[in-house]
Amino acid sequence: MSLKNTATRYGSVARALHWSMALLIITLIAMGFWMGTLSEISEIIYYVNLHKSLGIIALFLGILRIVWRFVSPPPPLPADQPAHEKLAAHTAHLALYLMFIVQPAVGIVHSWATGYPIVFFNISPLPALMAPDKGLAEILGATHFYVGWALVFVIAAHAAAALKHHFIDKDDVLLRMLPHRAPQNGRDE
Amino acid sequence: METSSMKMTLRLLASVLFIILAIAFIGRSHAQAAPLWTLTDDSSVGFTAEQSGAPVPGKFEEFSSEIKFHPDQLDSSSIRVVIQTGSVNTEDNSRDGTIRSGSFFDSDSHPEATFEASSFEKTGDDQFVAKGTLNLRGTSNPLELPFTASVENGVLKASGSTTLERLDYGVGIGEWASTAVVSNTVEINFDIIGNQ
Repeated sequence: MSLKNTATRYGSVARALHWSMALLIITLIAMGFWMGTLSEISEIIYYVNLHKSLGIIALFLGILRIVWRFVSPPPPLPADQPAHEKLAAHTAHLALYLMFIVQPAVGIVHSWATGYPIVFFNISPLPALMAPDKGLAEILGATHFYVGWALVFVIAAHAAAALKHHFIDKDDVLLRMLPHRAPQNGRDE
Repeated sequence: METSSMKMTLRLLASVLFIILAIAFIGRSHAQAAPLWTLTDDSSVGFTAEQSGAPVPGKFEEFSSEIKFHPDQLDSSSIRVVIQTGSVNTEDNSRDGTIRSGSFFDSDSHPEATFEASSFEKTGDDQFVAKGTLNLRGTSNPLELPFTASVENGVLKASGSTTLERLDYGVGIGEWASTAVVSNTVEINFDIIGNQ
């Protein structure tokens, strides 16, 4: 078991970051759409603040993940994979990394623009760096909504591609991100 | 005989008239001592509440005022500010809607909040306290409003703030009677510029 990525599989840090963020981001997206159905403002305040708190953690993990990617680059895609598939995979990954930062950042500035504080798990309010602004809040709210939908599509494509690798191409692209995989031919460290 | 008695009567009438006019004039000059100010559009009346310990500022887009004030004429100074509670603006429609609703201001039943004061105390250079009454959501309570004010070149500049407990005015019904999310203490503030 290696902390760092090897030439053939992801290390435990990358896997922990991948799956914790997957769980967190899917929860955040589902919560985001569900919150739109709430009408009681006290409920909205409670759940939106929970969403913000989880989003702050997602941002933190996203930054950590980008740093880790430079510290420990991921194993390469299978050499026999067509160039257009590799391009699609890299584009999707780049889009995901971009949204890991953009989506929480838009959410944070949106919070400032609406004047609803971010109270991290109801412990203490984070400082607001600008005064409330209704016009800006509308733009950022819409942006957060559409980036949320973009995340849905890219995550769906990412998951579909991983399943295609596993069931159709029958390579180890999905397996190398899964935990508890027995070392193959001693290639694992 | 007839003419001199008429002259006396006229002289008497003229004197009485002069005295009446003189008293009226002196009285008038006193009444005018604290001038009436017309506020510019830059003037603002607002508040800062706290949600979960973080400040949430707001202002009132519509209010009218009758401000008679001069730092040297506190005895004849008086202020009356009428705020349209429905004009609350915290830069968020759903929050503004909640504040206007029966949960907070109940603007349909109580469209106006009024602050009136005719008692002023000088507390320092350009520093004053207005001792008045705030009527909010149909409830009146005494309110002391400290402020700074100065008149220069015929322009009044005044600003001040104080705090009140919203529940003293019944602002916060049902779940909002709890102060867990929205603080009981709310700062109210104003910043005005007036021309004569």
